[in-house]
Amino acid sequence: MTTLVRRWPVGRGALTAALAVVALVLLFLGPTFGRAEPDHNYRPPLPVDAIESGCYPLPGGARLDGLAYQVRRDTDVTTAAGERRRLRGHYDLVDRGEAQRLLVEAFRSVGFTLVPEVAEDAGDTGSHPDGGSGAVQLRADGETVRITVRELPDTDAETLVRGEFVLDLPVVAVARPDDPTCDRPSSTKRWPVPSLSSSWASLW
Amino acid sequence: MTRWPARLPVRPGQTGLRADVLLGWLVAAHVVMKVLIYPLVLNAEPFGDEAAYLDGGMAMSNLLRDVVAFTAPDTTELELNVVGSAWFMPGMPVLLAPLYLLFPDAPIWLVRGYLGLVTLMLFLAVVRSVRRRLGARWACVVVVLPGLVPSWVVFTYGAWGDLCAGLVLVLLLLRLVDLVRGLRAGEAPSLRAGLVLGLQAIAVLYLRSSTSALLAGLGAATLVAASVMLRGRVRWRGLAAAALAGATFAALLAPWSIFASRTLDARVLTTTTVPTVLANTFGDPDELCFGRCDPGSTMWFAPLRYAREVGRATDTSEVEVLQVMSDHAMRDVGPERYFDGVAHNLAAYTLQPTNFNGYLAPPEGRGLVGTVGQLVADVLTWVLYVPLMLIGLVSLLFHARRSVEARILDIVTKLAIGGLLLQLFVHLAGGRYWATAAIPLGIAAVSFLRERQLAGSDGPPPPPDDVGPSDEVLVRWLGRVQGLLRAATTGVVVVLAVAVVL
Repeated sequence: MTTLVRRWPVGRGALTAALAVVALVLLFLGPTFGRAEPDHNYRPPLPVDAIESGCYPLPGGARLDGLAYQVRRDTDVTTAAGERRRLRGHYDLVDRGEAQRLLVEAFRSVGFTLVPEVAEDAGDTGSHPDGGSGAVQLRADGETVRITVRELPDTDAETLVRGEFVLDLPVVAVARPDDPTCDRPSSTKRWPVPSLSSSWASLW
Repeated sequence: MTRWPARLPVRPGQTGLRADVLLGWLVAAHVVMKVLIYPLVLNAEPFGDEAAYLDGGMAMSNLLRDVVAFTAPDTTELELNVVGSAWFMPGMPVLLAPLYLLFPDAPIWLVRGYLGLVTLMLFLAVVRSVRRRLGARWACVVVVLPGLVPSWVVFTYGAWGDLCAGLVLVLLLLRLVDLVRGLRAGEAPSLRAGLVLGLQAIAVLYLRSSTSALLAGLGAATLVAASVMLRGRVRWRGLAAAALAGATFAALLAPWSIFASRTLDARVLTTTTVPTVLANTFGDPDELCFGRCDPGSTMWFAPLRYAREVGRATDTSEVEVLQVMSDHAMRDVGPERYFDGVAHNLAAYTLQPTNFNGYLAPPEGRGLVGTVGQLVADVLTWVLYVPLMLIGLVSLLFHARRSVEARILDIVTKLAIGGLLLQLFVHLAGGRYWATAAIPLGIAAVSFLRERQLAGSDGPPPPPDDVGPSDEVLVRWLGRVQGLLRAATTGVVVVLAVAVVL
């Protein structure tokens, strides 16, 4: 062993040359052995947006055009008024008033009309100086939609994400049961919720 | 170089030959341990990040194939598998590419066998370098700590870059020791030495990107040492070698940075994980996605998905979004929370050496022999690991005095350990990161024990110090640097202790 350790440097040049030749031969033979197939496990495809996918469409087929948003959770809850669908999301770039205007427009363009609110901050548009969460209600064909928009604390145009919105919608069944996308919670944002009523008790 | 073997202290009555014999037996023991551990891990499916490195290796092998066959490479495949989300640098994929070139469908046992072989060759190269530059007795130390620590040997069969980065780092540290020896004799490092240092440094970075701070620190320290210790024309040669090292480093970093930046449409230098890591380690995870992130996914993938969604909606690069998210989650982090996180990281780094013995198990679980084998591996690991880590860390609070050579080695190893432990201040720690620091910790621990032995009244007489007349200034400066390192370490320990107690 010791003599092996001592004699190591000898013949190094010849050994290196031989190894280099072998390496080159193998390198040029490489393409004939077939191609490796990596799975990009660590770069999954970005899931389709929950509303864009059309798996669980908004009432009237409404789209949130013009608003930059991300859907966060889409759950069906049991309320005093029966089963309702709560779709929670974040809006980006614009301020609260503009976000609410765009959301209301999205439903108005598919035939919904505003319902005057009885609550203290009634009215459809206009930003609230204290960033308060006034709800807006729209109705069409017996379907009711409530929109609540709220600024997130410590956000501004620089933070990209600026606030939250909650859409209180009628429950809808999956539009395309055979489409695998509609089965994917990462796309539909419909994860099983452990306890429905308690998680919505504090809406924010 | 034949001058410095005469400088190595030799105990009266002992010749170098006996150490060489012992070294031979220890290397054989390491090889036997590798052979015994291989069956324990050979059927283990890729665990965690290994999947990313293996995918990267496959994609790099396809790149080689395409280049050799003069066809256009599959850029999409490279973007998805080598860059991905720029979480990892492609050191291990480059290492794995030759395997997948020859065996594109390589089964996991072949991959692990290949990794074991490559790490064995690298480890033997390290041992040889230690023997040449520090002597056979230090080589024996390195073979035992960590070469005979079973969980370290288990890591040699893993596709993570920590262990290989640690090995190349030791090669680099030894070259630095040689460089300082040269400076001491008034010699500047040659241009070739600068080139090799640059190559070794970029290799370490590619294998484990969290070494960036350490490499920058070592580079700066070497530059300062060369500027201070050399005079006249020799100094210019030294600076030229340093410039070449830096240029080599930058030139080889550029292809990755450029490709990753193009893929993610943002400026990526090494990786993109720092903002998310900081937020996960020290910030409020319930604020990272401006609220809670998606369930059903890990704390790395869920924020990434949110960042990509925001990026899609706002037409911004996910890299910028991740930074914005991290800032938001960290906005309430105060010093107490920060130091609590660091202390937690220290615990996670140091107290879990045997985790991966269990993670790298076959999918159907271990049989009786396997379970017994793992148990033996666990026990032997703890037996060797506890002194290694404990004494290694304690040694940071003391410094070597016995000779100039010992001081140089002391500073280089302490800088390495300190630079690697910097990771605890920015990154969640786990049970595999110690593999990078294992050899420097072993050297530091044994050096500390030697100092204690010499300080004891009934120890052997200290070897003749090798201080020449020109070395007085050097010794004074080395002493100052060591004192500084010691004070810094003590300060950090005090702050952490206070944070944990309060």
